[in-house]
Parts: sequence; C-alpha cells; structure tokens
Amino acid sequence: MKWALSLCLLLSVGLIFTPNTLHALPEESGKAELWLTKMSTAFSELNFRGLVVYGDGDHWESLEYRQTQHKGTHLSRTQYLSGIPRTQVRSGNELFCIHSGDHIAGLTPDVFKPLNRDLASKLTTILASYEVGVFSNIERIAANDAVFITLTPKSDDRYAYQLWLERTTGLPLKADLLDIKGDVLQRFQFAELELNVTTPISMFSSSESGHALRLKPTPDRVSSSEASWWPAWLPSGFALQGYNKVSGSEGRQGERLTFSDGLSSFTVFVDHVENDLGPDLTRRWHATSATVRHTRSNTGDFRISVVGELPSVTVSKIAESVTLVDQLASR
Amino acid sequence: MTDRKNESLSALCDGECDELEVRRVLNQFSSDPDLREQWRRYHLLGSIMREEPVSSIDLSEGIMQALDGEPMDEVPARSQTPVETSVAHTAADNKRSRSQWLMSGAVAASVTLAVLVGARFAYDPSALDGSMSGAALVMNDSQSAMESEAISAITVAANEPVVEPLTVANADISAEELRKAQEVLSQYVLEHENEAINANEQGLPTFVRVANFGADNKTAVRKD
Repeated sequence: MKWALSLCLLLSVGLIFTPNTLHALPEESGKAELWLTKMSTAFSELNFRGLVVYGDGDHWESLEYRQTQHKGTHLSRTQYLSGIPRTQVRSGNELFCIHSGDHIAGLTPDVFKPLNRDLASKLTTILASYEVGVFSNIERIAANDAVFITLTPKSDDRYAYQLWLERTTGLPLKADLLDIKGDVLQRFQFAELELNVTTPISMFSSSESGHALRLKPTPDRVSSSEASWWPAWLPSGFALQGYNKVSGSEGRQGERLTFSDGLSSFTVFVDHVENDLGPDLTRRWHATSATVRHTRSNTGDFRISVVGELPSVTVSKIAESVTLVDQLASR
Repeated sequence: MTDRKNESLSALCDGECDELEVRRVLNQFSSDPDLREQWRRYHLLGSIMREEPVSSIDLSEGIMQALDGEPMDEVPARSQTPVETSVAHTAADNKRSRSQWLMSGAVAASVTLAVLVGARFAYDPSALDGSMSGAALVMNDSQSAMESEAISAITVAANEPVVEPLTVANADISAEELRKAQEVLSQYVLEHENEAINANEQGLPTFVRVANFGADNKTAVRKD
C-alpha cells in the first residue's frame, strides 16, 4: 500500500512541476523544413528595422539593424549601440565598416550567424545532424507572435538551438545556443521590430570614413587536395567549407581548414613553429572552444589549433586527430 | 546626437547627474526627439537584458516630478501601444542559467531605482549634507558598486571574450609563457569568428592575421 501512495505522490509532484512547454508536442518534420526555409527567406527578402540585444548572460551588447532590398541588391546596416561607436554597412557582397582606429577582428560581429539567408541551402546538411521540433506554443516577443522551434543535435558533440520565429514571416525574434545541460551560452533577441519598414537608401551608403571588407564568396566545391594536414576524426555531418594557405613568419606557410554541419563550424589551424613549442592549452569562451597542441614531424614542429562553436571535448578530440595527409593515407 | 548629449544621457542613466544636470537633460527631451528616442532605447534594452516585461513608460516625467517635490505615483505611459515581451521558459532552461540571467537583471534594475530614488534625495535637503549633490552621491558604496556593474552590463565596451575553464597540459610553464599562449589562442578565436571575411583577394587589406606564437601577439590590425 505504501508503494501505491508513494507513486501517487510522485505523480502529483510531477504534474505540478512539469513545465508548460512539455505539453507542446513536436509537429511533423515537414513543418520544420518549412519554418527553417521561411527563416532563411525572411533574411533574404524582408525589409525591416529592429533593436537587438545579444550576449551570454554575463555580458550584453546592443545594436540597431536595418535591411532592405534595392534593385535586387541586399542592403543592411548594423549600428552597434554599445562599445566604441561603429557601424557596418553591407551592399551585396561589399562590406564597409565605419569607426575610428584600426579594424580589430571581432569588432563587428554578425549576431544572426548562422541563422542567416544562406541557411536554406544547408537544410539537408542540418537535418542530417539535428532533430527539429516545431511546437504549437505561440509566445510573444518584441510585440510579435512567435513560433517556438528547437534544433537538437543527434549526437552530444555539439550544441542545441532554440528559436522563436515570427509567426507570419519566420524571422527569428530570439535565438538561444544551449549546451548539453541546457545552459544558455549565447542569445540574441529583438527588443523592438518594425516589419516592412522602408529605410532611406542613403542610410546604406558608406561615408568616406568607412573602409571596405570583402566577403568570401561561398564556393560551390571546396578543394582540399592541397591540404597537407587533415583531421582523422570529424563529428558526423561536418564537411569542409573552406581551405586557405596563409603566410606565416619567415616565409613559412600555415593552413586553415574550416568545417561546418550547416549550423556549427570549426577551424583547424596548422602553423609551423620553431624553437617555441609553448604549452598545450584548451579553453572555452562560452559557446566557442579552442585548443592548441604541438606535434613534431620530419618537416619540423607544428602547432595544431582547433577553434569552433563546439564543446571543448569535441575540439580537443578533433585536434588530437589532426595528422599529415600522407600518414593518414598510409593508415 | 552629439557626444555631449550622449554623455549627459548616459550620466543620467548612471545616476551621476546633479540636480541641475538632470533638469537640463530632461528639459531637452521636449525639443529633442533624438534624445528622447535614445532615452527610450536605454530603458527598452535594459528591460530585455533583465528578462522583464517591457513597457514604454516614460520615466523622465516621473523624475521631473520628483525634482519638483511632487508625488510620482502616477507616471504616465506613452500614448503608443505598449510593447510587451514574453520570456520563454523551456524545459531546457535550468536553474543555473536562469539565476545568472536574472542576476544581471536584478543589478541593472537597481539603476532605474537609483535614478528615481536619487532624484528624490537630490531634492530633499535633509538627505544632503549642505552642498548640491547628485543622485550617485547619496547612494551608499554597495549601491554604487551595483550601479557600476549594471551600467557595464548595459553598455559593454569590451570585445574581449570572457574566459572560462582553462586546461594546460604543460604544468611547469611560467606565467609569462601562459599569458602569451593565451593571447595567441584568443587570436585564433577571433580569426575563426571572422572566417567569412576574405581580405586577401585582389590586394585588399589584411584585417586578420595570426600572431606569431609567443613573439608577435598584438591585436590584428588593418594594413592599408
């Protein structure tokens, strides 16, 4: 009898503390594809303006974002409201930054990445690695009704996403990046959104004080035939997105290999080092993990570094597996 | 909006204005829509950061009432439709992340309170020690510390990522070696974040470069 009473008590407690969201059941997968495509299209086609807060819970930044389509060209303007005054203007594949001083890497982040207009082309890749849940809850964010969507990785070697998409357009009003424990690592959220706003074209012109950056065109096929190094282990679903050789010190070259599963990405850095091996390190900056290890080959000493929006265990495992292509072939 | 106005508005939000400055800034609200918009933005963004419902309540009038010694019980809402924000609490949210997010909110919320309370104190001669004092001066040390923290949370200036757990395989390295190694690692992180930018085509400037390990670890700069 006691066990029956205990069971009743347990069930009662469970019912009381079950979050409301658990009552929402995922809808069919076709809807998931529809919503993700809708989100990507919204970034491609909508004219809107909004105030966005982004950060990780400990540090917050804010920006004002505007985008419009003009004569077939995508125009956007991001004015960062915190930190040093700076603005980024995009016209097609041209990118201009307006600020004082030198351009520092990471100064003008794309907070919507990877939930941008390129996402639709990666849908098959994404669905191979993530379970997508569309929930029937309608929540209200920045005065707009939002549909709640989850992107849960099929394996534990990467992070999950929670998205709140504007009900009619699919524009993401809020997005969380979560680790396996459910901790929010990164978030952006519209504080204010005006859809179908016409922004004067003059706001998308760069002033003389601006300087140009160039967006890397996405190649149809990325050749890795020149790569000397390669990770023997890759998390499932990750494929090479970019490969570069860079000039290092004393004319020595380094290699950069960038992989992505459609949402998360990581970069493998291989650099020739001499008489300066330094320590092996692993570190995490909220959603971004980085690891450095050193290895010796018959052509010298090398530093292998892996950086990406992945758990530190995953980037370490990738780094440990990076080896010379010649040795990989002989295995 | 000029830098001076921005500074004044920021100081007002920080509770660092004296009474005359508070009156001067608030008087400009009626004739300067940009200033008023910026004020609204500060509070809207602050509310989102604190994960609290957003309403476009105009605090400026309440502050002016406080300065005039009038009760602030009826702070009028703006005529436009209030903006509300719902905060989703999903199964994935856990207590720790909730407490972290709410912590920053609680601290930031103290700023608005400090502005209002400070404005009252600034008008109340009994709260002052004979000299004209600003809102910040009548707060105690702990309030000031909270205020500073809150403002830094709202107007984050640093682009330096926040560092979390660090694992070092070579335990016998010096602190200097470790510092250099960490800086280089940070540089790799920044380069990864900027992987979308290809600055090497057609002689365009190089915006990102990888520091030479342990020797050349300066911040990436533009090379025109």
